[in-house]
Amino acid sequence: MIKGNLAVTGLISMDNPSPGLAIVKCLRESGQFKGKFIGLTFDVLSTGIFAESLLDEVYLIPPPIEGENPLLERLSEIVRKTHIDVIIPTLDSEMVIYARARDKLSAMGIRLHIPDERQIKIRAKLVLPEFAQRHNFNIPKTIAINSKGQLQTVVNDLGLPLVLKGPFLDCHIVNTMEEAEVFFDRLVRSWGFPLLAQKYIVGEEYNIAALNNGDRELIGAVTMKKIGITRKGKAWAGVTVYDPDFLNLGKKVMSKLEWVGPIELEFIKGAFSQKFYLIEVNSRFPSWIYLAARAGQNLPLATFQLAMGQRVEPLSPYKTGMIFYRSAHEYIASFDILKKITIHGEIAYR
Amino acid sequence: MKRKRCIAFWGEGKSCEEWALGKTNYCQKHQHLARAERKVAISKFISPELSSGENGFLFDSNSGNLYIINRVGSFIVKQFYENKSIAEVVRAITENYEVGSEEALTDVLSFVEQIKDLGVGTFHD
Repeated sequence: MIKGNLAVTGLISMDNPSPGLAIVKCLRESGQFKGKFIGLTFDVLSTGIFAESLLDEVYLIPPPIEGENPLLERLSEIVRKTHIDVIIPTLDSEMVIYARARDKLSAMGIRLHIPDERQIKIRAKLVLPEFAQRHNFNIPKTIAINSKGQLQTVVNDLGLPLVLKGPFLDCHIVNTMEEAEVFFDRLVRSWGFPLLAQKYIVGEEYNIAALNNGDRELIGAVTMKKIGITRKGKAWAGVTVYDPDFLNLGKKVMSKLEWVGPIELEFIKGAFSQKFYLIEVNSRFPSWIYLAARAGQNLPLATFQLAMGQRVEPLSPYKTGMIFYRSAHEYIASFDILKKITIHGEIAYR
Repeated sequence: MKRKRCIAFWGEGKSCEEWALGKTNYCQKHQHLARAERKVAISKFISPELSSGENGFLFDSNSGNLYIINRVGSFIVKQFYENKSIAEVVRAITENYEVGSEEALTDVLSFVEQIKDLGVGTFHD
């Protein structure tokens, strides 16, 4: 039995869910874990706050934009009330903060198993094209945009449709110049410059969720093909597949990144070329990670073990043909719960 | 290499006067009969669901593609799993369904071309 208390971030589970609750499910349902599940969130309306069946305690923490010190201050308050062995952070916007705070968290008794700051930064959207080209990975042609004046030139170069992306989060497929202008303004308002414009590749999306140990050795990797996509381009259905060449490509990317910790690799398989184009590298588990556990590779459980300093052998091959379907789930709670979390910043269900 | 006559009508009391092509036993006109001697290997990545008398489906765990096949398609795939040649599959179809051998052969060869294009099967060489 693996024992300890796990805290997760990313408790929103609406139309574009964060991975936090899925990670809790992986450990809760494993039958191999005994300990508390603690949710950490900065949003009082995070759906996960009300997930009494999954979380034992929930605490409000400062949002990532406030930086490292407020987070550390809050966590030091929290650990005076409840013991946290491991945090698995799940939001792109907080990964660098946790990486920088690793030693200070360790001094509080909180362990992490995540990449270091350098690794997180070299797979960032802005520099991923250069990384891919340096290591001969196929990547759609990408142009950084620093002013609206460039937009027409970029559209002429890449053609339509194309993909507009914020520097950290968010992306839109635009089909006309008018759409490009509208989404350009939205992205700049939300994220500032530079934006990225990427050539649109017709094809199907294949993603890999994987985990390396501290020696950069692969512990497990599961491939998922998206079979249902929302209007925002997020998967609402997917199936586990196994393509040894594709998996080797993913391993090669991880090797070139010298990766440690959880990772998600997003690819598009070109419909005409049949080549895999690297689209994105995320330095955390994806929201579909529960599928990986149900297919036979419980990567979050292995992450917990690695964070605790335990040796983990490479996981057995996973089952193909496992399908996930995402559906809306409503948590019903009394208003007291919202009052408690808003006023006191914490809830203890158990 | 000694040339040989096409064996298309052997056993039927007729003869085809044409020369066989290459290493095959059949002339240009009867090359489809050469293909009928071949066997088809279904990809190891295919997980079949082939209930008798019903539609079946093939899940390709490599690409994630799912193919729905009709009753006859299921029958054909089952025969290939039993290592039958195309000619044997054609014979089995004519015995089980009301269809002539020529039509059956054309349909089976067309089916084989489709599954080859999709990566579901290849010729057993």
